[in-house]
Amino acid sequence: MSVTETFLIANRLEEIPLLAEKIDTFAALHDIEPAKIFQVNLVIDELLTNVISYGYPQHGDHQIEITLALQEEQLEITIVDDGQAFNPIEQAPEVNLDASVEERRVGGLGIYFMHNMMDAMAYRREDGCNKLQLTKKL
Amino acid sequence: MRKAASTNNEKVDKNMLEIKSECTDNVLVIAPAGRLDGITSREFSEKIIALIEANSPRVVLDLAGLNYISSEGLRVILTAAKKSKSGGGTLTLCAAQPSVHEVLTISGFAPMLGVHATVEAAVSTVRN
Repeated sequence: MSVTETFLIANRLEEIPLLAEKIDTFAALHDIEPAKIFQVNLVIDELLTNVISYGYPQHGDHQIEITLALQEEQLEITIVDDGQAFNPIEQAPEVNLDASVEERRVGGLGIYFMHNMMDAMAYRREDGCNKLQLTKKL
Repeated sequence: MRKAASTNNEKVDKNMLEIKSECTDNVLVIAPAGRLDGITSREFSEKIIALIEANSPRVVLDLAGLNYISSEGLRVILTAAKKSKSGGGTLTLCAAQPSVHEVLTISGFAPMLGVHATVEAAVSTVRN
């Protein structure tokens, strides 16, 4: 069994919660555990926030494509954007989990969540686009 | 009986964040409900800092109504915790839903700030 659904969003932060609602609907329809889809939505939010905030220094209107492919035991998430080349997998998450309140910084947490919550990640730059593929075991 | 400092009778959009607060015996309890993300975090940041300045650096964040948090939301909580600390107080958390609790654990925020089961337990921690 394999079910695929593709969502297109504009490069605006306001699109992210609307996409999350659609992903929740997809998950409910296919009996995906809410705790798993929470993590999928969180990682997608973190990655899209990066792309929308930093991927388009010239601004302008762009489309980002998010595809969910549900297989038997896993969900594959593919994010394609035409922003600046950026491989989030290469970014070593610099997160100091043991820091005190005074010393703690939040930068890098989004990438850290991706490494922590996804089971596999693959990136390629192709046709002027970033193509990031994430796998979440269900 | 807890009294909300601000009320909003309109239906709460689940993509928005509703913020209620009350200050009793020098302990400020703030209850954000809804989504704390890149969109709602800016308003939450302004409100929480203003509330701490106007009321008390002893702060409890009641997360019972919070159904989503991203790193942008964590950033605001950290900013508020630093503000609280610099004012001689403490900021702690309570009543987080399981998925939000997991984000707090993975990010290291749970051990750093504490996540109590109830508002009462959190209040007694920041009071001492």
